[in-house]
Order: sequence, then structure tokens, then C-alpha cells
Amino acid sequence: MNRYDLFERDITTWLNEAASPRMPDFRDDLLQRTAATSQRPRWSFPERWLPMTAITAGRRAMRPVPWRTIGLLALLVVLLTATALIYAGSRSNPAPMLGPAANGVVAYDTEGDIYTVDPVTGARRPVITGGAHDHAPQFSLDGTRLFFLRGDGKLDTAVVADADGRNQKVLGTEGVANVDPDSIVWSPDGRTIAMLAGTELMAVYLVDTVSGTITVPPIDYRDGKIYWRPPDGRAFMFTQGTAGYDQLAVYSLDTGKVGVLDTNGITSNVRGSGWSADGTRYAFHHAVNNTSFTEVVDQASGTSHTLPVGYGELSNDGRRVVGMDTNQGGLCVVGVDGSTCRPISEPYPSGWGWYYRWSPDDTFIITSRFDGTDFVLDPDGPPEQTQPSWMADGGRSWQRLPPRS
Amino acid sequence: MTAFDAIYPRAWPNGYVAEGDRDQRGLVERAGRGDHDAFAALVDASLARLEAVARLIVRDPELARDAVQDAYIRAWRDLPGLRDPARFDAWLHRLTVNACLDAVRKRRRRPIEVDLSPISPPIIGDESGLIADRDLIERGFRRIRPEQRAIIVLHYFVGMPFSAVAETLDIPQGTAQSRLHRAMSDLRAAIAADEAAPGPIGRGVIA
Repeated sequence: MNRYDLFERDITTWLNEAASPRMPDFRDDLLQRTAATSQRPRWSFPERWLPMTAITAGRRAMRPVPWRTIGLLALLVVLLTATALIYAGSRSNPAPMLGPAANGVVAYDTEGDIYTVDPVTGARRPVITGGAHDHAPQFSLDGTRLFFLRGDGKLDTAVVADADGRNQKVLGTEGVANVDPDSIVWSPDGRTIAMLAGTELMAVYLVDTVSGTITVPPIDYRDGKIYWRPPDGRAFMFTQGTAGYDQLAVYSLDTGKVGVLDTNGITSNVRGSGWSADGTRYAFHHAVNNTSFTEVVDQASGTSHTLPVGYGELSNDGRRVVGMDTNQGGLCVVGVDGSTCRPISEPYPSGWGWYYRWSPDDTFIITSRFDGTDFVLDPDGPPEQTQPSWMADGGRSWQRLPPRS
Repeated sequence: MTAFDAIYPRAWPNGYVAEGDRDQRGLVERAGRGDHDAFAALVDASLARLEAVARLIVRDPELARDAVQDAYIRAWRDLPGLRDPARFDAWLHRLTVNACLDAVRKRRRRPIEVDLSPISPPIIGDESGLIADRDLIERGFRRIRPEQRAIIVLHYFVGMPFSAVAETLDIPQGTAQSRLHRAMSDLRAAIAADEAAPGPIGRGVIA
């Protein structure tokens, strides 16, 4: 017998002692009162006229309102609502997929983990950590998600997560060999990621974040970066053809067909350079006698403007182009209607890698030299590269945030 | 054997008649047809038990008296509407419990003076081996809610099984079990709190 059993026994004993049975002295008085009271006639009870099932159902229907249960449910609803609001508030609001945006944090990888750093405060935050080797982070264009590779760089798994690293989702059933981390680009609709990879010939790999599949479209990819066509990103620009006979092509994910863009008859060293945010203009690179140019073409009129810069990248507002300075090496910036490319980096004899991207607000350019060192360039400043302290460990992808009003 | 066993040998352990025997059913049917002598027999068979139940629930003899009389008057008045004579005992207990709770609710509207003195002197070397002495149980029992007192009384004093408690209070059996468990927990807590904070016992005022 445990303590509780003893307690129950004590209660029973005490109850019997505390209310010892006795015939109360009001027994006769009670019977006098009842004798003086009329009974309700049998017919006045509705229950007498109803089947038992109806009475039982009625009792069920007439049960007291369970205020306690209702209160608990209401409290639960309030808590769930508050949690949802807090959760929604904790998630960064999506930035516009195209055009200028505000600068967020910068993602980078170091020693197999992925971090973000706030360029303003210098605050660093681990985003993807653990035993796996994670690298090549790229924020989605709305800034809410992060794509990265997990593997040794020779065979990697594609992974997507929330911008803060939660809700990781491995994409595809097999690893992808030799992914070029500089080629990873999100589609404007945030559904698909394109990247270049391959063991012998490079091919375009499409990573579908919704279905979780990785496919290689049946296209004759030759060279160059991939540029998604605004506004929906259901098609991308690439270079197809053979040496000396390049074509600027567009592949549609919806139709599976390939179209060819007008390059004014230029077929030598044609490479894509991007689209304006409104999709009305596109740009492509070409080279003549070792001199590079970027052509900006208006789709509607077919007219083009030649810029003295190689492998140009359009700014978010579509007004400027940053690219390789064909005269002295390094990088330079030129207006889309301009004629002179102004150097923004020191000349670099071995050239710069082809990784250079505008910051979301177009006030900086992140670039990476061939040796892998990352720098920040000022498109309006003197021709010098700087490596601010926040970039000491790298800085590959700048998060886009909603424009500040 | 409890005191009720001696008085009502045909009843459940503490006097509760689960289904009602043939004699009782006959009395109920006759009383339902207006036979007051039959009703008097039913009163004689149950009054002592229900008066004790009422005293335990309301913890006030006068209120208990009023509550029991109200319950029996209602029983007499509404007896013709009772469809199942076998359920008379559960029905009568329900009327009594409801009358007790009504009485307590009415009493709460005005402060009354109650005697907080121990109902029995503290026991030294308690022969029954009570872990909590009677005074502590008495005061703890006063501190829990009347609805909790009612369910404890029905189960531990009247001897109703959970199914009968559920039927009497018109609640599901699982609810009856959980309410009893909660009532006992609260009673233990009230007793423990009283043990932890001993103080002078005298006359007090409760609302």
C-alpha cells in the first residue's frame, strides 16, 4: 500500500467519522411538506412522450456549454496566431526579384561552413554548420532562401535552405560533378537554379527547388554564363554553336524549345551578358582581334549600342555595365549609352575572374580574382580594389532586401 | 464495514444502490403514481445517507438540511416523470448534489461565520495510522471547491463506482475519473499547504 492508497483510506475513514449517519430530526417535517406538495402530472413531462433515443439526443444537445474547452481552444488559436506572426516577422520580407534592392548580409564559406556577415556592423553569423563541407552559397533574388553545395567540390549535392539556414532540403538524388561555383544563378521566380557542371564538357544543370529534381536540358551548350530572362525566369540565355559560329540562344523550360537572339550578324566569341530588369534589352559579349565589346540590344527595335567592355554585367537598374577593361586589364564601368569605360580596379596582368556582381543597391561590386581572393569595388570611386574587414573571410553572395522607403 | 453497511445491507459498500432492487423499484413506481406511503419508505431508506452527503458537501448543517429537503420535495414532485425506476438512486443523488451546490452558491452571496475549530482534538499516537490528522483533512476539505467535495463524497463516502458517479453528475466516466483525480490532488495540496503554515485555530469569517 503506497502513500496515496493510505491517503484514500484516510479520506474514507474521515468521511465516515465526519458525517456519521443518523436519521435527521426533520424527517417528519419533510414528509409533511412533500405530502402537501402536488406531484406534476405524468403527461406534463415531455420525456414521457418522446422515445429514449430522442431524449438522449436532446440531453446531448442540451449539455452545458463547455466554456473551459472553448477557452482553451481560443487560447490555442491566439497562441498559434501569435506564433505565426512572430514566425512571419522573423522571416525577412522578400525583396523584388528584379531591379534595385537594399543591401542585406553577405554570405560566404570558410572551412566547410557557411556564414553571413553584415557589411554595416561586421556582425557574423553561422548559417550552415556541421560536419559536412558546405560551400558556394547563393541567395535567391528575393533574399529569402540560400542555395549551396555540399561536398568536396568534385562531387557535390545541391541543397537549399531558408536564408537563416533552417529547413534545409537536399535536391536531386545524385551528386553533381565539378560544379562551377561562380556559375550558380537563381531564376527570378525563385523556383529554379541554373549551374554549369560536367566531367568533360560543361553542361547546364537545372535544379528545381519545388520538385527537388536536377535535370540537364537537351541543348547544345557551348560556353558562357547563364542569364535568366525576366520577368518570370522560365527561359535562359546561353551560347550554342561551334567555334567561330556562335549563336546567342534562349531555352524555354516550358516548351523545351530553343530560340536564337539577334546578334547583328556577329558570330565570333559571342557570350551572353544579361537582360535589363524589364526584359526589353539584352546584352552580349563578343571579341574582335582580341578586343572585347559588349553589345546592348533593344529587342523591340533591334538597334544595338556597342560598349568598350568585355563580358559586361548590367547593373540592377539597367543603367550601367561593369566588365573587363580590354585596354589595360582589370574591371571598368560604363553607362549603357556611354562610350568610355572608367577603370574601377587596379590593372591586373592576369585579368580578373569572371565573377563580378553588383550589390543589390548598385553601390558596390563584389568580385573575385583568379586566385580566389574576394574584393569590393566602388563603381563610382577610384580604380582600386579594397578588402574591408567584413570581407576578410570572403564574400560571395549579397542578400537582396526590400528597398528602404 | 461502514456504518451504512449496517443500516442498508442491500446497498453497495457505503449505501449506494446501483440499480435498485425489485422492492425499491416497486416503491418508486408506486410513489410515481402518487403513493406517498411508498415515497415515505423511499425517504426512510435514503434520508440518513443523503443528509450525511449534504453535510459533507456544504459543510454547514443548516444548509445541508435545506438542500436535502429541497431535493426530496423536487423528487416527490417530479417522480412521475422518472422513466426508469431502476435509476432512482442515481437520480436522487443528482438532485441532492445539485441542491447542495445551489445552496453553496446562494451562501456565497453573503459572508457567514463558521467554526474553524477542529472537529476532533488532535490525535497523538493515532491508532488508525492516519497520515494526515483529522483536523488537517477537515480544513483541507473545506478549502477545495464544493463540486470537488461532491465527487469525493460520492466515490469515497457513498461508495459509487466511477460509472455511477458519472451517471449521477451526468458527465462522461472519463471526466468523472479525471475530476476525482484532480479533486484529490487539490485536497492533498490544501492539506500540505496547511501543514506547512500552521497557525492559531479559532473563529474566522469566510465569504
